[in-house]
Amino acid sequence: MKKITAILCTLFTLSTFTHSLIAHSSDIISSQDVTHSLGKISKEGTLIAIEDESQWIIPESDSYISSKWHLGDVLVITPNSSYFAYFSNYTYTLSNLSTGTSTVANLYYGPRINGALTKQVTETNFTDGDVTLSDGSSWRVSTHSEKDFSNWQVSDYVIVGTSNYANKNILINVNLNQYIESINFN
Amino acid sequence: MSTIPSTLGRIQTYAQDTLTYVQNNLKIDQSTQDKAYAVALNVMKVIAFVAASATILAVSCKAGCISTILPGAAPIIAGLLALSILCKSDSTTPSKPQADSAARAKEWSKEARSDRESAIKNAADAKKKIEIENTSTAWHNGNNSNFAAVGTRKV
Repeated sequence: MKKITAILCTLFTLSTFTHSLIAHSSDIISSQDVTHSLGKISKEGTLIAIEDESQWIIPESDSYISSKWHLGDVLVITPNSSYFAYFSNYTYTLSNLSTGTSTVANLYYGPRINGALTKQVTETNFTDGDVTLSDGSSWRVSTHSEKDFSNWQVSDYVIVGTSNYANKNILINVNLNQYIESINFN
Repeated sequence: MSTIPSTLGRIQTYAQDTLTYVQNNLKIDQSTQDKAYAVALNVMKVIAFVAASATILAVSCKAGCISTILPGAAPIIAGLLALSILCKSDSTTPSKPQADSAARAKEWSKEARSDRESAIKNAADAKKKIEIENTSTAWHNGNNSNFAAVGTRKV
């Protein structure tokens, strides 16, 4: 029994170590620190817009948090990673770095079409898992996001967020209303 | 002795005729009938209990000493106690038709409450949607087609 336990522990340690090595080897370049600026906020605090004019809906239960936010506050968009995220209807978390508070949110409207700060897909390379955006940035899609990435098309609208994993970002495809993990390499 | 069955038969016939008359000529709804049935049942139980107690008391007094009759009457007393408990429990537990009505009413009440809560929630959701849509439309100068719609392409 002790031998079996020792073998299992060894296997677990090895697999963790290997996974960490693989994860680090795929982080080609450090992630882009993507922040957004709060452009608009509704009176009730249940709807906000960021600099590209995309709109985010916030649950009424969290509006007491967002109603204290101010225009120009620095926001970070990450996937909803709360303990109850699996049961939540909200896909993202908006963290306000200016106030140190955060709330869950869903994308309600995408960015302004042809807006100056609007990003679109200009090129996809499914072989290498690369995607280029209209602002000239290039991204390498994480292997576990490749399946979702295969549905992406040129001219899809994109909002860049921050991953919960170190050195990674998320690319939110507005047309598909889904996000993929990726690493910025240009 | 032969008159007893004929008397009982006449009472039964009379009771049946009365019931038929009530059913045919008086417009009494089911709920009232249920209530009347339950009241009559409880009254009959109380009468039976009082009569039995009186009988026991009379027999005891006639015997001249309650203490001598108590051991022999113990089963009867136990039965009467059980009957009294039964009467009490029956008075709080509705009869079968009452139970059905109560269950039905409870179910309807539950459904009505659920419907009302659902309606309130839907109204709140609709109000919130209108508020957000109005805000959104105001932000967009009344034209949402200038903005990328979310999740328009399904895979």
